Amino acid sequence: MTRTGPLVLLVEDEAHMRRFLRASLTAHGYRLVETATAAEAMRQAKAYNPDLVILDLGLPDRPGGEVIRALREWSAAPIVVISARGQEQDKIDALDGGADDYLTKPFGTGELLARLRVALRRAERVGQEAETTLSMGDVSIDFTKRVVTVSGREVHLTPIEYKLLAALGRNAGMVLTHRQLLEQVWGPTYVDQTQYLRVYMAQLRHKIEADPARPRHLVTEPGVGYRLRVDSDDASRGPIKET
Amino acid sequence: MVDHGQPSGARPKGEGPVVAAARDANSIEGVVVAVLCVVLATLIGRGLPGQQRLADVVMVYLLGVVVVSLRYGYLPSLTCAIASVLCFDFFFVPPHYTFAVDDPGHLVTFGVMLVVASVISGLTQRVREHAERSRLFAEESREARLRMEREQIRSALLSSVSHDLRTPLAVVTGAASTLLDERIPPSVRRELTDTILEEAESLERRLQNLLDMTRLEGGALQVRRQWQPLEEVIGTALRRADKALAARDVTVSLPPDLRMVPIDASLVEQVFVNLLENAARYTPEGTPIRISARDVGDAVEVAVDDRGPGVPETEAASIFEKFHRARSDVSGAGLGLAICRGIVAAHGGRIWVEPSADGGASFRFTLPIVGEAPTVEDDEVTT
Repeated sequence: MTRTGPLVLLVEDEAHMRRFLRASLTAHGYRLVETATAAEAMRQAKAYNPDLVILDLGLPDRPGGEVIRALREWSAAPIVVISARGQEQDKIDALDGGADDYLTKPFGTGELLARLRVALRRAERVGQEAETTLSMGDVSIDFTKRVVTVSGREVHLTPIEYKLLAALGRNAGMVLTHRQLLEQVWGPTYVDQTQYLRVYMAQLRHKIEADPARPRHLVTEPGVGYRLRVDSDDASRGPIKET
Repeated sequence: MVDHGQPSGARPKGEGPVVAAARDANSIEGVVVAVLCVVLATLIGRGLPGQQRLADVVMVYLLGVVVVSLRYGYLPSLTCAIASVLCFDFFFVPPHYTFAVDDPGHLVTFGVMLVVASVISGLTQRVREHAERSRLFAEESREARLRMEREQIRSALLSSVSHDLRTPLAVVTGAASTLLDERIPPSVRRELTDTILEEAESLERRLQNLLDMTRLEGGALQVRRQWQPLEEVIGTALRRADKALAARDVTVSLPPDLRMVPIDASLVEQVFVNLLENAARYTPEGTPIRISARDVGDAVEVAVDDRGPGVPETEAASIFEKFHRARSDVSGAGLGLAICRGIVAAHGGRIWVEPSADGGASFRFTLPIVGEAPTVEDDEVTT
């Protein structure tokens, strides 16, 4: 069995962080290119055309946002950013600017691997036909019939509730910022009306979550947005599909 | 003033222009009062029965000098003394209504009057200065005491912090260095790795607490209020406290029509996390925890109830103080509840603990509802 895992460009200035990331990523079948600066990252990205970029937002030479913008000019490779706690605005800017997901330091490798898998899976689907159904645990969404069932029973959702769930479902496993969700569901003039999002999210949870105060599917990313959690995110699995 | 050794009119060193201006204004007021006193003394002297015995009149004038010098400085007192002598001469010493004097003996009276007046004003001046000095001294010693207390708090913080951070760090170092030993069997390796992970996570939590406390104390805390459904905040807090709560049964019961609250979600989340972790730490393993909330008119009151030993009434207030630790055998710097109090206060609410109806402690706090919640129209009447 020959394995040529996805190529990851790791941009991180802390040597110790790189060491542990290298250890866990290579152990899970990823190939790795490492750099410590933004300038070097741009060169490496052009030279290697990686399948995924892990980018620390606290680089010494340039703000992470610039790197994301520059990358997005020519590359669609998923970008997962790493940031410190309390940098919520940086995360939001990075996500709205084209990053696909984020991790807050300190994080465990399980979390990291799950994020990478989700990001790669979605990148793979780009260009392919959109999936018609999505199921996670007891909840399933049929995108063609616009029907949502919980434990096999159909749940009545309002048009907005459905649009909200579908937006998250199409990006299953990934974080969507408040702004992205408001824009997709309500339209560009509503991007600052986060209370709409909160109210409808609460309604949606009451309809599809067994315990709305402890959501299993519709997860809040504090200060950033929401994520539809996919149950199959098993931390121990590698990026390579079994067959 | 003379015993200050300062030329009159000169301002004491280091005295700001504001203080000096206040003194000048005070001096002008003093002179005015001095003139009024002299006028009053003259009138009283004129009104005295029995064709005015001069000695009585002198006494009345001296009384004026005393009054002025008790309240004002040297210049007003001197003004009062001289004006008194002049008026005394003019109105009372024959021949009246002229400054001329018949009896040269009266010149002695004037002299004695001036001397007595300046002695009196000198004495009262000294009394006033003495009072001022002791006031200053009291102020200084109060400041010194405050400084000392702050210093004590800082060193208590330092020692508590270094202990609090060193303990998990020592475990991490020990476990990691043990892992370097190749003879360690795999099962123990796994255990040590788990230990390192747990301790590192607790280190992160403690650092976060410390940072929060510093921000609260330094006034750097920004409260970014947004209208939030409490349920979502409780949800994120439960997820963060998941590990600490282990397999505990946590019930959340919120009224279905509970209003949104204008809060900083990340801060209030921290209050819940601290209260939950506290409950997990101080109550027997496996005992349930209950989170509830109710509308109390101008605020929403939140309660976190446990079934632990409860908080003795004597500790109900001090438990929210910094560095207060209910039990020395439970680790922690004693910052968690102080942070809760700080955050709740920053929202204009209050936090307290009372006995829970189920036995145990009930930690409660209010989140005031300020302003009008935005309306979110339904997109459909759900049936």
